[in-house]
Amino acid sequence: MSRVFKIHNPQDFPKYLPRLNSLYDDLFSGGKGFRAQLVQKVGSQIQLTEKPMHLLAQTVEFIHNASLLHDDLVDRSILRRGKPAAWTQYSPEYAVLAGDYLLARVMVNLSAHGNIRLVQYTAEVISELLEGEWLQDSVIRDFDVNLEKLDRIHNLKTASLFKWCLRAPFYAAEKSDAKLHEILEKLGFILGSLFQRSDDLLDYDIRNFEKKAVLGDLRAGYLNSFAAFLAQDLNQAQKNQLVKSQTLDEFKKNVGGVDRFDQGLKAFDELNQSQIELYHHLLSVLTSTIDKSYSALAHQLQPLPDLLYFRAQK
Amino acid sequence: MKHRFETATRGELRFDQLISGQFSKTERAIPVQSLLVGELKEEVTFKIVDRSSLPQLTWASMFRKTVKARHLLLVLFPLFYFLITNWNKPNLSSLEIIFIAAGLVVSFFAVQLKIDTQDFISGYDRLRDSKSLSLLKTGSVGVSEVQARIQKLAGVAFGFGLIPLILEPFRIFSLIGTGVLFYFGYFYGSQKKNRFFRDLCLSLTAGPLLAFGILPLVESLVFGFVWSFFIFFSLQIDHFQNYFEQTRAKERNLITSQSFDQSAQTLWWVWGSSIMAFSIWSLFTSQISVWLGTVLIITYFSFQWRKKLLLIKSPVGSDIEKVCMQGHQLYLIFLLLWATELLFKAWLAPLVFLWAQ
Repeated sequence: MSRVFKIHNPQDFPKYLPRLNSLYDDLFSGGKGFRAQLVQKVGSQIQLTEKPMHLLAQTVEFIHNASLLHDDLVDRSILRRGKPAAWTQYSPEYAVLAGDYLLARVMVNLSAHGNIRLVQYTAEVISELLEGEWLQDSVIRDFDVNLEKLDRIHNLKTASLFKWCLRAPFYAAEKSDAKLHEILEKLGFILGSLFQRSDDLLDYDIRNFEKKAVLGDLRAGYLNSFAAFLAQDLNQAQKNQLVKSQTLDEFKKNVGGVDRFDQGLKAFDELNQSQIELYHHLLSVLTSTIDKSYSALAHQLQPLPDLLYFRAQK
Repeated sequence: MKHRFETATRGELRFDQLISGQFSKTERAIPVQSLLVGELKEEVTFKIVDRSSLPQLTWASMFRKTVKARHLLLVLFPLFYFLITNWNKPNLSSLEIIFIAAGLVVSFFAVQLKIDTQDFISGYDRLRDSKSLSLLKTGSVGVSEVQARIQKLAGVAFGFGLIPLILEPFRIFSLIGTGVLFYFGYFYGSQKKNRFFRDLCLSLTAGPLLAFGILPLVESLVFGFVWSFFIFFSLQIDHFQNYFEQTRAKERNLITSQSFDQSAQTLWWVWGSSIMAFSIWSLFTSQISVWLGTVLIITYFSFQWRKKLLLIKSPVGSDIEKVCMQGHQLYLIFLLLWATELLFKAWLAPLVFLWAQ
């Protein structure tokens, strides 16, 4: 899916830059292109024409992949989508430059489109995303960080792009009603937050259907949202023990046993279920108070939280 | 807990009913999300829950959840100071002390509730996305109930305050000054979204004006001025602890007008200035050996705290809360030292003097 959005115009990835095209080929292949699909879902419901829709889908994939290039280097992650991360396969310098280049292309392509509000909003989102990355790095090895603080980071780092996927098509369609955008912003926040929390659960082998590696966050010194939720009732000694866990079984033991772990998961799911209910309520507000014609869009967006959080289990 | 969601827009009757809690006798509305917060057409989504599922609030639990001990100390310590320094003088009668103390506690409680209610109705607490959940934000109590209690508290505070005022009519100047500063500081400061002026007014209100209200003498104003540094510090450390939330909400004050790293330095300088103000003033009012002991001990603890303060890595990490907690402890250590110094000067020193003779 993402590969479709690689070339927007021939100038995006000039042939004379050595290794650039192969780096992007590796990077863009394997991704699910979920964000691009979300843009298309929204765009198609508000009758956005193909050209701006393609531009938006490409934009979100460029921004997302630029963040992955930088993120992998910052986190020293050696794998991305099951393959060697760009900074290991090419060089850290190329990874940084390739990420920068993608962001530059975003601005070139969007500004050529000529919608200044869209350009401004996109620049704000890129800035928020980087703020989130920066803040996340500032809490590495902070094992007392709580869920509320992590939510603030994830709101910037993860949810900002989800918000963009919902709002940008409306800006592209010259629809900038403040209330509409506030609702979309809140919906995007919930989707981003659920996506992040679901991703954090994978690290503890929960609904890990793709069989991703476990305990990666903890080993990298990062207490993710689920771990922070489980650790909130532990004392300092128990917490110190918890963060030293080398295997998932050891982690479960340190958290107070398998039953305690399962109870924690149930409580975490309930917490997120209430966010899903709020999401559905906001969708009803979207159709009842903004415009009834958005009911088809609301219908399209309805299954997303369950899909993102419960990974289509429900 | 069974619940449903309902969304209403500011200006509508339904919004007023939900925000004030007067829409139902059996349910309560808790704001969970706001759209266009801070604007005239703010739209709030409320979580409607059954009242029976929420804990009943007594006066005591309401007080405990509204008034922080360290904040209460800001208004009670001056009273303690004047009590100790005037225990053998005819300036303050025990009747006055009892009524002033009771009046201060009750009016402080009422003011805290009033501020919480205003922030809740105006949406300021939603704008800040504050982590410190007021009673109203958690749904433990409704606005109309809090307002009824504020009226009762104001009546009681007025009753307590009347007696010291009759005994010493000069106290009226303190009340007038407090009213003027409160008006300019709170209302003007809130409108401008710049809290520096408000912090300054609050510090002067709870500093020189409060001191003059307790004991209407010129010396009280000097003590109150020194005390206002510590009140100012207490306000700034709260801003520092909420640095991220406040900067994201574009709230301006002394701390948030600077970068995060600089703000830690500024907080240190505010504390350093407070200690400096105390040291200079105390030099003229204390015995040199006691003065030296107090200043040395607090300087030692202050520099210990400074090390940790300047090492804070993140405005969203856990360090900031830990170090701010230590800052509050430092402030309590300082008060303890000051109280010990006062007690020593008032009671122990004369005893030692008598024993030596």
